[in-house]
Amino acid sequence: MDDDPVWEGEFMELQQYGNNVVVRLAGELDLVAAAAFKEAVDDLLDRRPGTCLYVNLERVTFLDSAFLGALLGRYRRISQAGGRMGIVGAPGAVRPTLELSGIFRTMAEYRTEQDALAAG
Amino acid sequence: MVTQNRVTVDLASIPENVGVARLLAAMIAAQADFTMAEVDEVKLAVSEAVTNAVVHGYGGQPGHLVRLEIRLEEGQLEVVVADTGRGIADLQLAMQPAVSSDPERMGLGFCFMESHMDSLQVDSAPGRGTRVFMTKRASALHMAGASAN
Repeated sequence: MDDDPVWEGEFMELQQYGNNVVVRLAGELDLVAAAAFKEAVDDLLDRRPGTCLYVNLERVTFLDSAFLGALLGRYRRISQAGGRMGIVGAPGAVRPTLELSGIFRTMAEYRTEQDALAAG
Repeated sequence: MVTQNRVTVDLASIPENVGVARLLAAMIAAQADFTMAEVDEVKLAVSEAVTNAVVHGYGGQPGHLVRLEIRLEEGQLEVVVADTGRGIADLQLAMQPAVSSDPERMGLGFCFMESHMDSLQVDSAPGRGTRVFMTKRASALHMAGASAN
């Protein structure tokens, strides 16, 4: 996976930039998306443990605690392997849910993918 | 605007039906005087309750049914999510935030339901399933009621 997007499904796309990976998500993210996200990211981390992961939520219209759990689970794994994880572009529709969950106390937030990749 | 409606469905206990439940709840709430933000809150509460039934009630096993009842009565939405699964042994503990039997989960389901709906009642016992009853009144009607008093 070198620079070309790898489509994992209708709501998820992964793109690699060296040791950084951007996951772009869209639509409503619940336990269905959580399972797919977990599988895709865990597969990636099995191959490249020190990866830094940035999750782009710009096109997400809904997320619930099932998806939040998948985010947090991946964060724990990435942190333990010495990598970094952040959230990019959280839109207004899902920001209250993210803030209520306290996830921003754990994960860095970036306005754009460029900001996230520049921080790495 | 619709002021009275009732929908009862039995959903197969598969993850894909959590989205079906959200869609039904959102459509019925949108028929009444709920704002878009309030419809989003209803969607989240229903998503959490149905997910709990599928994942915890039935342990992720398909082949079971989750009953979803949505009633709209003069601008008040009532939602019941019921399963005949394993039930909750310690309900008080289960309803505390960040308490979960699974390290992958945040344990925020009940917290989100409580903060996004006007009321939440949970009846559950081991081996006897779980019934979640939630209500929400459109804020426009809240305010109309307050000014009338």
